[in-house]
Amino acid sequence: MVNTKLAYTSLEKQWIGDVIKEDEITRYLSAGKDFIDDEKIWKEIEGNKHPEPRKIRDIIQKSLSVETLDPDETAALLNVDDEELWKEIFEAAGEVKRKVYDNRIVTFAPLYCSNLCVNNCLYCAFRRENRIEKRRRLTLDEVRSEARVLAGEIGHKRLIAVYGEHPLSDVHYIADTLRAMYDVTVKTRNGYGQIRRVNINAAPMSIDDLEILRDVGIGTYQVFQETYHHETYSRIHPEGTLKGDYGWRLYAPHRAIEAGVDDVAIGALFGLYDWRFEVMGLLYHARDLERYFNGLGPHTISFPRLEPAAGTPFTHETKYRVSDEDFKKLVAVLRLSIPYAGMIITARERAQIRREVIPLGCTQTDASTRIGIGAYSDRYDEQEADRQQFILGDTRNLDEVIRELSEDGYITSFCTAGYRCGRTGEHIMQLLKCGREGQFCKLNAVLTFREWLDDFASDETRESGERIIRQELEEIREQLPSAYPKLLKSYERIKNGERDLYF
Amino acid sequence: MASGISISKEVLKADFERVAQNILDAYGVDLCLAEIMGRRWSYIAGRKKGGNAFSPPQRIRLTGRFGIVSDGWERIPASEGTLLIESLKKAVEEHG
Repeated sequence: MVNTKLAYTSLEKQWIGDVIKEDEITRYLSAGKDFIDDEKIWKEIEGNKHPEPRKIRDIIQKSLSVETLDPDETAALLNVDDEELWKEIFEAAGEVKRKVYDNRIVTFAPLYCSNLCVNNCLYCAFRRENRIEKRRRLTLDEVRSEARVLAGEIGHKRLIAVYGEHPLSDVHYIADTLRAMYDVTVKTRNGYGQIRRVNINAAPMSIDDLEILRDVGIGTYQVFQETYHHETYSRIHPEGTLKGDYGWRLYAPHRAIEAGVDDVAIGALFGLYDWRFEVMGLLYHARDLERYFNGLGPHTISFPRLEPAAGTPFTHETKYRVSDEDFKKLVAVLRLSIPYAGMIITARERAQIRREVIPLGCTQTDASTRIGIGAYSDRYDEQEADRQQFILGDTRNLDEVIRELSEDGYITSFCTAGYRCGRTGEHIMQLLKCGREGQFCKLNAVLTFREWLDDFASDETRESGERIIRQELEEIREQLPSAYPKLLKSYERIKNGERDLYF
Repeated sequence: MASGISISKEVLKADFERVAQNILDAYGVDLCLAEIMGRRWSYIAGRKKGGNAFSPPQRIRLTGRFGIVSDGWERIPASEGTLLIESLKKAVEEHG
């Protein structure tokens, strides 16, 4: 039933009525229930208080063998109360990440295409009743302008395109914008820039609609559950709105895989409910996907913390705000619980926190981030709350972020190879679990970082980047001797201006 | 049907697994079958873990919708490679 308080237009009302397909929820239920049993999760958290150090060390070993943890094991990690043991967990989280993904960090940028939205989520500046927000939907020319700045001036190759849920930003609009982003080619200092992978953060869709996105060649389809706690979910997503349907959202990744989009991403917005419960919810989500799709779990996991947003008092009132200390714990526990998944830390977080959290198992981060609609080509310097979904914590540019990552010993990767050569779905899952994908990551990081250094780096960043490249080449020569000559061949071609070579 | 794949595609997968294993045994070449959707080449069947070789992937389009990815296509004798592509084209047209 459509929420009558929200004064929808007749077009909106009709569209809203057609979105949710009940049978595309019920088909996944077990005895009429979804896989989040709130009571059971709390029992698991409560039942694993004061875990023995030996038990925790056994769990760490399981993670190091890249196996998804059982709920009781994750609950035990969440209950560790010994600071020394937390240090071991933090260290193990970094080790798991290096084992699966080596020491590369992939960078990307969000591209917000539309903030029109029929929903009214209490924590979100895009919510329908927020009159402060300036509404805008980019035209396709404007999308191309945004992509030209991102690919040609900043040097991004990977985007996450973001859309509010609205008939004017439906699947056909999303598909058109994707094509527009992929269309762009811009001359750079030594070669050319292109957007090579566009991931999507959009509302849950039907299988038919997801097939449309699949056919355009989307990267990852990302839907955050926001909170896994049923009662909280209902309270903050008003009844009669599309987002008010918990099950429709929960099974969005299932439908995507059924539609043939075999890279899906999950996430929770930390600060809406107890952080330990949300970690358990993410684990259950990953496990249900694995169960249903022959071991195929989420490609990435996101763990944004609730940030202040214009005209949105809820963001200041929540009692579940996650402290920096707990944030580090939840990141490390997620890394150990779902060891194969990519983990994304974004510019929502302050620079210092990002620097402290990346070593705990993160694989991707954004930089030069603008989240206003049209914000890259409009070139405004200050954040404008009334056209953003929330306020960013870190507005540094990509060059600065890369320099810091290099100084911390990470190689920045712009790799988008996997989804263009069959390393998707259950294939990439196997490669991640056996450590093979990490080797591809290492090779492709060198090639794509070379491109970026030659095309976009400042002198200072280039200097620190060259040090990392030399170090990586030396490691590859020692660890992957059969790959080394082929890598050097591609590397030289890139130095001579060729682009987009990969393993 | 848990993964939404039709029976016909299951036949295609099984057939391809057999072919890929034969090629691997004979020439040490990894093959995987992919469905092409814009820039995306989504995995359908073939070797999951890959061998020890590292080569830039070779992508060969069978039809507008299907392709194979190989890590050493040049190691397959040319005449056999041509036959293989022809038979795979037929298979994806029939079952894909």
